[in-house]
Amino acid sequence: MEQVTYHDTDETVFFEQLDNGLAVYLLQKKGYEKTYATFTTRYGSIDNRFKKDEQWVNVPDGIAHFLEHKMFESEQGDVFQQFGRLGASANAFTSFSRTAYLFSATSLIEQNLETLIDFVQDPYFTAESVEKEKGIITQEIQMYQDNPGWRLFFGLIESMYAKHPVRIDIAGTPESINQITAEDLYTCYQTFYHPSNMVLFVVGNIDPAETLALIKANQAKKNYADRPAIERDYGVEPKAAARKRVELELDVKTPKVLIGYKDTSLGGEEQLRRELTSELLLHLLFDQTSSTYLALYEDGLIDDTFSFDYSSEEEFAFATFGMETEDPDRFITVYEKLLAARPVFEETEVVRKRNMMQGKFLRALNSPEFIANQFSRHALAGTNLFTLPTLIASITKEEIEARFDELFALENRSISIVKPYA
Amino acid sequence: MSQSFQIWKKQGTTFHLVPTEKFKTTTVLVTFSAPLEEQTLTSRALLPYIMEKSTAAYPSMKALREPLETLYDAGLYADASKFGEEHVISFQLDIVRGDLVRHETLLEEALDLLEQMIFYPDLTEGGFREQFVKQEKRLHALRISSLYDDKMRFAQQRLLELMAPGEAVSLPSLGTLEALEQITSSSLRDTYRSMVEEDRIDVFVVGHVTQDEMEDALSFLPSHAEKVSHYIPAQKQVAGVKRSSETQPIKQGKLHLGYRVAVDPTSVDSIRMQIVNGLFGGFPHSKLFMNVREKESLAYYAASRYAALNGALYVYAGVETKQAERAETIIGEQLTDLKAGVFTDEELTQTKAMLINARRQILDQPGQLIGWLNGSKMRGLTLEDEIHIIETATREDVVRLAATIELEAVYLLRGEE
Repeated sequence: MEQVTYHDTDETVFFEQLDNGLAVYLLQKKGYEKTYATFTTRYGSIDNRFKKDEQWVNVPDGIAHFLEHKMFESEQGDVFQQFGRLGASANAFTSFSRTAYLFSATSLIEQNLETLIDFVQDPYFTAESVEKEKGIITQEIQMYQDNPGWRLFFGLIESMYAKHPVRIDIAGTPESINQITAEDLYTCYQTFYHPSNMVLFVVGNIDPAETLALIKANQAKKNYADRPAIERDYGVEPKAAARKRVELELDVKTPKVLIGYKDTSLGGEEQLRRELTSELLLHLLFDQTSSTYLALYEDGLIDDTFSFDYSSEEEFAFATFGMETEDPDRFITVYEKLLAARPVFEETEVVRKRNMMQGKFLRALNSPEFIANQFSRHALAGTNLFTLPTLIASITKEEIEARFDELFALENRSISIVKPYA
Repeated sequence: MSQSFQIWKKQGTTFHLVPTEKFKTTTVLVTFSAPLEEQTLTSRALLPYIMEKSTAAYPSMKALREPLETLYDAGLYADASKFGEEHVISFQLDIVRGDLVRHETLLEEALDLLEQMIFYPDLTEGGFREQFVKQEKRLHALRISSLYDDKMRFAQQRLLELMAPGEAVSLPSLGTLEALEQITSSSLRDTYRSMVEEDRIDVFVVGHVTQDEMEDALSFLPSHAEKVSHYIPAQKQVAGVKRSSETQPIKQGKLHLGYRVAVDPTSVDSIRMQIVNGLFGGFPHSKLFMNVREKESLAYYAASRYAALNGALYVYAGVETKQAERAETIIGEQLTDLKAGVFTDEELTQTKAMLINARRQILDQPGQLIGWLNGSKMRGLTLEDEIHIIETATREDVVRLAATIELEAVYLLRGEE
């Protein structure tokens, strides 16, 4: 078992890759009551075309999320109940590129951990239960259809991407999920839930050696044949945004605007640096201390619903910012004018933003959930969460300024607007 | 579980301290509480938005936020909320531990900014600055009308109004557009003065701090005569089920049910009542989730929440509009079963285990710790006491308490059919 202590965060991570390929990470949080564990596969909503037995197969949209729901059914009954009996709360989520299963508990940690590993490694679907799930997921999709923020976001993604499956709603559509069969679920399961495609992270007041021993003994009981790397196909996506602007009418009182700049992902360490540089750039441009924000605020064009984000995965990346506003077009005209002149940043501002990002990171480390989820995301991308403080400190003003030119090219931009019915 | 809590009073202020080294941060919350009244609600809801934007010494958003960024993303925010029949304005500071960034005076510097925000607002023009007031009034109007866009919150607000029309608990927490119109920079100054001079003050601190350090650091707080709290509403009787519905062009209907619960929120029974709520609709193993969702596939969510202070229990479900009636019937059957004691020992054990797990986890989050301290002050119980009450509650307790639950109102937001 490897062990690395990161002094600038005062945290120690234990690591071992098991014989079957599973990557296990453990982090001891002294004084914490809760233990939080995530079991994550690098498989999300975008993985709808892949190779199985040398053949390319296409599966219905929304199947990764559907599979996540169905994993909670086992031959012994409902998995939620099993965790409930052990006093733990369990959950799962599906994103564009990952599916994670998790529990948090304050007692019976060993039983809970075995339950987590065992249920994720034991698929069980019947035709009848697959049919029943369709009603529930259809209601979940409809709930999101009424959520203006969700519609705004997916309006933007659909508009930015021409082909890449990131443009498809994570849950699919009522029509696409209706096509899903138990057989499809097994196909996806067998392709993506091999231990070599997964990360197990446990954080809490644990004894790392004992926890690792338990995980190893559990895995030794199961037979996994070695397996070649997974081949996935996301199509060929042009660099520029596919469409300039989309508008949607919904039952809302206040219009909402979201602006996106499509970026490319370099993958791995290089992309991590690009991600952090982009975040520093967005903070410099749009924080409440920026001249852009000030100008927009004085014009009455910006409020506390304003937010920005840089989304970065191995397969895609984009920056977004937006808010609720009575007049989206006026906001667009004014922000364009403000960004038209390439902003010049002061060295002191850059130092301040680096401090801010360091502090934000340290504050987030109070949360076992943040540590487990983010560490797993980084581990699956071949990067390390705990290198963030050093990386942030090393990013220069020049890099940030160069990032501005790359990211804010007009051909990368899409605009999504949700407005009241006319 | 061995976390100590210290609570003491000094010069009319109640201090709550959770000394701990396990977090990377120190969290300080100062709250100002006053009776919840329709006349002052909107003004008190707007005030924190103005106060967190600038102070006399830091007269712009930029001037105030820059030092906070330099101090490693110090979080410093003002907020307003309802707590039973009280209105609470709070100021929160969340700051990284100085030793982690080799900046020994970090906490002191951040506390100075907290003091500036609360006690030295920008009143150079006699009132708050006209320009900020105008801006924030406009933005607040936007916030109030955006409530309509969040259908779950919208439906819940409608349910509250149906249950207690015109009463404090059903007042919208952001206030009303009509009252907002009337606010001026000098009326807002009066609201501020009354907050500082009249309100009850509570302080909550979670972090690596001692009692003496804390009193020292917060010596800027004014000294007051001790004030009593009045957040607990009177118990109410149910007089028949009230119904209301509206239609909007949405995909999913929202069914909200409101029940009266005849349990004193300061009593030990109010802790046991959470077991009843847990069995009914608090968890994925609860009756509502298992029957409305898993068995009948009628909804993605179907859950209940016990609001001890309001003496109420609410049920929410997102359903196809044409299935709303059926969903309501099934929800009613679940409550009938609960009242008749139709639940297994396993369901009871599981519910207790989940509630205890949730209580232990409170100790791992500064924000939750403060929320728990604030919510439990009326009972005077420790976390260990609460856990013991849950562990020893019986099937008879559940049946006895479930019997006090009475349906009072049903609100349905209809979607396209």
